[in-house]
Amino acid sequence: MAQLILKFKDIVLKDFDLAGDSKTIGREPGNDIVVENLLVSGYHARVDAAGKDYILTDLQSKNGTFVNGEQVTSKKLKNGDQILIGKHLLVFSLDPDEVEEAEKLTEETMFIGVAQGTAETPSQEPETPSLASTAISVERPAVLSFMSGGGAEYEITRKLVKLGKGAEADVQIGGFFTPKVAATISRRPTGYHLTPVGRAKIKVNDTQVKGSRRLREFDTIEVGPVKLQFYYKG
Amino acid sequence: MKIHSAGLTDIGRKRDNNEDTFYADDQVGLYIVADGMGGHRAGEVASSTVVSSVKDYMEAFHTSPVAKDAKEGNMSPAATAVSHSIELANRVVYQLSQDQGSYKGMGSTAAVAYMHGDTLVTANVGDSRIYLIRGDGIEQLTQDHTLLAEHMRKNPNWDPNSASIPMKHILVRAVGIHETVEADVYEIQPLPGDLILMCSDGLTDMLSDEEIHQAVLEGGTLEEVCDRLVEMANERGGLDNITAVLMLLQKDGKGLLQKLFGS
Repeated sequence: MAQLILKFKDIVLKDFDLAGDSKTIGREPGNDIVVENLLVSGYHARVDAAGKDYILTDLQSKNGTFVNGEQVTSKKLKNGDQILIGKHLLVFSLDPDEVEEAEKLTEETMFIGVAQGTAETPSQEPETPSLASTAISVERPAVLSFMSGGGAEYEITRKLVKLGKGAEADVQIGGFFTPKVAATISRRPTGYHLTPVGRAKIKVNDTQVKGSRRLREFDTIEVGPVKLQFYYKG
Repeated sequence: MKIHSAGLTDIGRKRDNNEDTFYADDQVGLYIVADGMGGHRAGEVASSTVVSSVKDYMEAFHTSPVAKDAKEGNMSPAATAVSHSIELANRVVYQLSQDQGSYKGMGSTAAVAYMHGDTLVTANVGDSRIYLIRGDGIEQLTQDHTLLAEHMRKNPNWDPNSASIPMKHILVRAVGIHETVEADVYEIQPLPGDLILMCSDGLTDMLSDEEIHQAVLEGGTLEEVCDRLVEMANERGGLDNITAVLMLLQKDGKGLLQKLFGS
């Protein structure tokens, strides 16, 4: 399998499987091979698969790309080629027995420090705030409003909210037959989920909940004598 | 709630070593899946260090909860402890990678599930997943910390096929890469009969959620279901290490007499 082995002062930092596709090399976090060093340009170079071969291309980097000591703009890579980018060395390594394997996708999992990279590279395009705000529903704060209790509101900030009569309940619900914890609302990636506890009978929009139920905006939840409405805040 | 579990990890068909580590303890109610990365066996070191650190911390919490795990912010003490256990794992892996040249840059994912009383705490960093299988539904309880998932959250209408780079395999959060890490933590109200599946991306890259769900619904023992999942991922190519941990949640088996007279 074709690999690029990233080295710095003879220490191997990481192996990258090329696995038949393209890799970009640079300082920006959007690269496949991130080299965090000021001598490295944001998008410095790339390696592209061309059939069984791999082609290295310098992306007009400030400090240049060198293969075995010679500056290159574009070059077909041979086994053992040493690519110098800033002070980092990438060694191109090919296993001849496994060349066919290189056509299959077996990318290594890699890590990039998005937060750090952004802080260090202010030239990066700013994120459009309008896009960032269209987050999934769970990141939107939600409230429970008491429909039969004078308009009081409970904002769901906890990961798991307990509704019931007991001291451990976050939302206090009175009523002689109300259990200590009658139901919970769990806030998770897919949204807010209501789950009755034990044998408590909970209705959402006049239908008894079996198992659990993902809440939709303006659902009406009936717990004992109390009716609550679920909606997103703001 | 009582839990029975089974777990399996497999090298897959393309890798030379298995960098996944998992842990399952039905007595404590603690389950961990970690998928390591880093050259020259460092990935294995990272994932096994995550498992041992989380395990040590949570076993201590389980025996005697300590004051610093008191209810923090919007989380229960148990959820706070799980969050702290991952922070500890991060410090240990990070320190190891700083101290030893060959471990430089190593890291790991972490998926942790902890059953405390009647609440299931789930937490993750990276792209190892936790699923809830309840009746005819399957729900991913975790969010992947990959460049792809992050981008999709911000741009829901974006076509992932237009990516020029394999964004699916680029993690934006991992244990041990930076000095600190924040895990996503959730608290779930489980029901008897719920199944929880924890797995590494070697499973989910090969199989869709629906295929995983169908394979679980085919039934058998928990061990048989884990075997089936791993085998299916291998048949699809087994490009990465594959780990599956499956838990079945059941009512406490106390009889009526025990309930009446205590136990």
